[in-house]
Amino acid sequence: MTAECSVANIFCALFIVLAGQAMAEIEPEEMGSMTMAVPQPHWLITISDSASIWDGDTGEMQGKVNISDYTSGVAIDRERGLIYAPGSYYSRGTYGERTDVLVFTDLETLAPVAEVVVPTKLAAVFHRAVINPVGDDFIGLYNMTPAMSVSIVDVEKQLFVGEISTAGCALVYPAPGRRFMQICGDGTLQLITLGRDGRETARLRSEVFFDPETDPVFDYAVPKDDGWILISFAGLVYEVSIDDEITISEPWSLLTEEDEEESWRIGGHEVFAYNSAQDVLLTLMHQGDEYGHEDPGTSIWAYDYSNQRRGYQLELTEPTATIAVSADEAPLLYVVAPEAESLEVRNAVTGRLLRTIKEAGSPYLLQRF
Amino acid sequence: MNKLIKLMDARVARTTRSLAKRVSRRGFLSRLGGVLVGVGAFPLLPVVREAAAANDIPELGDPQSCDYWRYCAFGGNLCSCCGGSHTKCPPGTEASPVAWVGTCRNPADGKQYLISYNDCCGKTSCGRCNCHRSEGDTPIYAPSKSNNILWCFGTQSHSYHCTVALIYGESSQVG
Repeated sequence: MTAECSVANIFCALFIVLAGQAMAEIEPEEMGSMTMAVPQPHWLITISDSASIWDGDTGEMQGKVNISDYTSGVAIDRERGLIYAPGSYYSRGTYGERTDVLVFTDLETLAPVAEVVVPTKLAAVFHRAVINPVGDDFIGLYNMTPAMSVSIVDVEKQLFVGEISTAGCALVYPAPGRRFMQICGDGTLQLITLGRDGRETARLRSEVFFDPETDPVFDYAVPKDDGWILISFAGLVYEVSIDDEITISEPWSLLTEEDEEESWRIGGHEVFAYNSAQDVLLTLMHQGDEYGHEDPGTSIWAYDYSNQRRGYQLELTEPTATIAVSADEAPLLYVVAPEAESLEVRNAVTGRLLRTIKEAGSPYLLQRF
Repeated sequence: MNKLIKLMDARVARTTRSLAKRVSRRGFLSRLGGVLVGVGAFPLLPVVREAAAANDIPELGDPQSCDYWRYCAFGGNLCSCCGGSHTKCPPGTEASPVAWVGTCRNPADGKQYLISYNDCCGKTSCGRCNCHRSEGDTPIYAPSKSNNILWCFGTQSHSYHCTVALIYGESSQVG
């Protein structure tokens, strides 16, 4: 009982009685936790301090997935209802014993439900393709020590299968079947096939198709049909098809002679995006010098991809390094506005602004569902 | 706080704000070298012996400024702003024995020098003096020239703090 109550006990007793009556009239609310709705085509994950899930149609945040301080990519497994996140953890925060794991998070509760310990070699590089699925049952994790390799995890059995040396070749891009593609420092692509047990059974290399010294391709690639689209620093577009071998198309240029005279360049971090249903390619462009491949874009240029024809050119409210597009037939274009810490949601076909999600942070990395 | 985000904030120019920190770089333009250099293997490298003897190299400029000549291919936080110097890690941090390398022109003598950029590791990001000069920067698949990599290899912790710039030797590259 408080000091005031001891002074005026009669008022105190009255208060308690009244409070009891009030409680009796209102049914107390129950606490609890929400579960996630069924994922939609316009959902998007932004990766910064955590992996946040957004609905591009409503602009509403759906939830967050915990990730480590060293995580730059996650993989979504809709069949199993899981999100896989690689992570490195120290027992004392920034020091102590290091443990690298692949964490399995339930897509409905967003709670971690399992983990597989992997060698402490996970690459601390800022790229979403440090993790990707390989076939239905395996995840490939890019390692760098700085020797380059890939750890394979069996997600069905929840165990580490082994490590595949990939000297000179980086990242993990999924390929049809139980295969993954890599980009190599000698100007080639590498394709590695796994057996049913997750062990390597075959690997092949493409012809040299770009010069890493004079005009390297971005290490960022976007999927198209049974292959990938790659773009060079100078704006040459290569289409990669993967069947029994790796086929690379003759390149075409994003830039006209006039564009080049005006010093237009492609640049940023996730610098282009592609939607196959509408056959639209979107690129982040700016005017600058030859070393501007990491400089943020001031405009987005849209291309009718198959016809290699430019459509709209959208001037941005502020420069950005990161865009993404949804995979459905009515695609949304997502544009990070890093200074405003917001996320613009646009019609990918017309470029029209639909909504701005405020307080979205300023992520470098976007991942569509 | 995601350490890779902090590293990227330090390493790259993403916004107009960070772009403004870039320097007039044409005068110092140099191509990055293309080798991984192990400090552990220091005595075995010819360029290192050359550097050891070359301790009377004339200096010009401010090591706390992004346009200091050694930073021609730098990306990150300057250790000279974080309790260290342009050649020494701040107290309590550990120098990575692996680095990326640049070739920079010293305005004091007009010569080209091989510069090794080593990350200092084991504490949270310093967060001061972000400098980004991406000349010659390459994608991740060509790592020896890539600044999108956390270069804390062979250290007890790979938590990024800042970066130093050490002279390795005189370059044969024509200035």
